[in-house]
Amino acid sequence: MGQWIYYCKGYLHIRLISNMPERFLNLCANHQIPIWNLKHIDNYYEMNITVSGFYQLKPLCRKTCTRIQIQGKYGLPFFFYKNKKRTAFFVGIVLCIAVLYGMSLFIWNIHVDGNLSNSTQSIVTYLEEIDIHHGIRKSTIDCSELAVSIRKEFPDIIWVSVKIQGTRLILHVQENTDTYKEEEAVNDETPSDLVADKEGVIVSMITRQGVPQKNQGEECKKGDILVLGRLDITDDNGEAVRYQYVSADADVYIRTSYQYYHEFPLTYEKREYTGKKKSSVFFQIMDYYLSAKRKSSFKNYHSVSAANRVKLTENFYLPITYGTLTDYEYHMETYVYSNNEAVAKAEERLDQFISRLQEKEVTINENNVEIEINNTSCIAKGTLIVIEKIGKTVPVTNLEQPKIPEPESTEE
Amino acid sequence: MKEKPSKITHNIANSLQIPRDLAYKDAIITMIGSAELYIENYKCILEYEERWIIVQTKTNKVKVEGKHLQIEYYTNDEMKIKGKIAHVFYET
Repeated sequence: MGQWIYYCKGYLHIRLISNMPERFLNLCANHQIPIWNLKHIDNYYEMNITVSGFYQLKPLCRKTCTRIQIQGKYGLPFFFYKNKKRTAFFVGIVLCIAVLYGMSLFIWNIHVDGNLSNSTQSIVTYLEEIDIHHGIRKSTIDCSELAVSIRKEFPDIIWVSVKIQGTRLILHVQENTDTYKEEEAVNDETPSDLVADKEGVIVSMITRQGVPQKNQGEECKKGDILVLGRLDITDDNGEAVRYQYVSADADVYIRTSYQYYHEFPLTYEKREYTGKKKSSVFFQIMDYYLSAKRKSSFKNYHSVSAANRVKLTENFYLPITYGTLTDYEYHMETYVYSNNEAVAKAEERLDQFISRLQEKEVTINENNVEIEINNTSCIAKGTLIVIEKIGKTVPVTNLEQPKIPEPESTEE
Repeated sequence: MKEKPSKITHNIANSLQIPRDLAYKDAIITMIGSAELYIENYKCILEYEERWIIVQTKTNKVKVEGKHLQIEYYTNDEMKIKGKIAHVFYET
């Protein structure tokens, strides 16, 4: 640090020719003249001294009969003096400082951290939508307003801190890790019936609201009303005096069957890669595309491109892309499934079908699918007996309210 | 020339446990390896050659012997010596 200050202020390298060098040195120390890198070479003493210290040496030299030779002048003042005619150099320095200062007024890096479910790219894209992008002036950004708008746009972000540090815009976000979502309250009070959307035999029926029209063990057809959304309010005689309408709600499970048929040929084609490949580079600036690739000599091939986008800072991408294009040669080979392979493939397809059904909360009760293999193909066919939940709501048909006979008035 | 501390001063310094460099202005010599040596509380340079440096402290002289001795910096009361230091002597 001290050396750097000496360099800024300028210093001299001097040679001392004296009969009493120690006395001279002690006098310098007493006058608090900074001296460093003191060396004894042959009969001379060489040292560095500050410019201000050098001007104080005259009386000391007279007192100790010492001669001083200046060996070199170092530091910024001497550097500027030597180069005073090189105006372009100084203009360059001033311009450099001006450009540095000018650049420091803008945002050059947007950094987002703490985000897990919202990608950095999606947040940066949103910032671009509200006109906050790389290269924007720092003074135009209102951090608190930006934090509020991010919280509004991303409801699962519960806390945002926006700060500008140097030329960086730093966003610390905190997301709601609690994945619990309040179930949408089914407050659909529109009067409706529950109608079968598949046919089968009812195995279980739990009614929460409405009048059940079918019983357990009964067969239902598509379109049959399972639960009626109309309640008949009856009087003591059992006659309807009023209809009340509700939204029918019930869990109805039926036993039904699915027909399964899947056929595939025993012969199939597969790509066999020869191991030959050809690579070339490409370069893209905006819509201009430049590639060193020539027409491929391969008959069958597929191309894989690996592209890299040039970026200045971590999220500041430029519209420049470069990468490689690689062609891999292949030829098609025909193979025939063996019996075991064909059965395994058919079972795999059937398992996929069953697991898709199970995702829809369908329980497989019986599996009667059989796999047959003939000369050319493998066929899996049969029925799957399943138990599944059915029922769809349809608006209730409104009936005219029954006329209530006027009670007979008795005259006294 | 050498002022001996009076008995009272000696007793006060001892009872208050004041370090000797403060109480008697004794020199502190710190060596880092054999290449660097700091002397604090020295009075003046008596001799400086490439092979030796003699420094006056309050109580005695300190002679540093070695090769290519160089004074990296020195102030009124502190000095840093660099070089290949071979011996450090106290001369009364």
